[in-house]
Amino acid sequence: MLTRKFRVSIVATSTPIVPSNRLSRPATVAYSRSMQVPPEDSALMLQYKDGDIAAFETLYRRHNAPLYRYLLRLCLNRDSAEDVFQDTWGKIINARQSYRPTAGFRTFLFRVAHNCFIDYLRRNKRHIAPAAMDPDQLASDSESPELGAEKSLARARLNEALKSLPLEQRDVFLLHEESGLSIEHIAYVTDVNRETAKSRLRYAVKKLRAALSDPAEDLA
Amino acid sequence: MTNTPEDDVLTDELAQISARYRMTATETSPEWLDNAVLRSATAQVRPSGFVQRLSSWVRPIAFATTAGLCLALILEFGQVSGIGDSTATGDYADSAADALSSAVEASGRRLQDLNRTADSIKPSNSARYCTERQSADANDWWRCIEELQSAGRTTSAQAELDLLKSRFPEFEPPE
Repeated sequence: MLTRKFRVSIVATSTPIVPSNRLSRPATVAYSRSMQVPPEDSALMLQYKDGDIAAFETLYRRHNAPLYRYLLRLCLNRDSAEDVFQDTWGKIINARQSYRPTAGFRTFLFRVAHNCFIDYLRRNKRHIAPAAMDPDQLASDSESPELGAEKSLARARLNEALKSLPLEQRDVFLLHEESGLSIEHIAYVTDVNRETAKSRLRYAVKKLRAALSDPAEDLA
Repeated sequence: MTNTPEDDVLTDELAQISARYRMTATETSPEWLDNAVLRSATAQVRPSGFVQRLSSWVRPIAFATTAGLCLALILEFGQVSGIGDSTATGDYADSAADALSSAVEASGRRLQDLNRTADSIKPSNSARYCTERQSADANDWWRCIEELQSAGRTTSAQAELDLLKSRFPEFEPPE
């Protein structure tokens, strides 16, 4: 018979509980409870393992853009980024039969991408000279010309600021922005401890803030 | 684990930088790259036409090979045990037992035949030790037998004695 001190209360929450120490950004996708819960990444990968190509396409569409942007700004070269992008997905596809959902798929994906980038650097012996990314090439077709020009300018400034960062700091910042992973998972992806990852992120933010700080260009 | 004041400052600064980043980072992978990746994913699941055609034959060939090997073994066992036509019933264990018993019976019959043959083997006339004239009379025949015995030809003597007894069953050899 349970005594009073073992009384257990169950609290039901309608919102996911986010650890207070997690440096996260607000979710960009919101959906109502009435919508069917989309399958998890691991479930889709397991379906692809069983031969379901549609499951892989869903998984790909979910992650291709963030991964592309991560590699684009990490490599600072469009051709290099596309090569590493293809290598990354190639490794994911080849690992189909041996895939085990022990870690989150996003963590797995970005760790593979990070390692592919490292391999790319080693293969080329030296970091490829970053070709200036023409902001006009990156403009979205759906944007109006005026908004496109303004955004191009902002994008150019941000890209220049990112280019000025050391590779490790840029890597951590981009992982935080594009993967949405916690500091712990970012540390795992970059193969450093938590404090090192946090320190790199802190320095990156400080430098970016300094590079982008201009009252006349405040877009807020 | 609770946040330090430094963490709070970092979170605020990060939020501002992130907002600017999100406004500008809108690129997406080009279509040709998407198609290349999806093609690669499809090829991993669905092999090429030649491999697919080849793999579709593997199972029937394996089945046919297994069936052929089994049939060869059955025929081989049939030849070794001498079952012959009885294998048509398919009850190979019973056929083997039947074959064994019939083999034993055949051996027994052969032995009996050999014994009968041995029993029926009589010395031919050319192999006779006592003449026809002597065997015409029982006493003369007996005297011939005694001569064979005294000469040490006990086998010949015994053979003649057996013939004497068969021809003259009432004859009593003298002491």
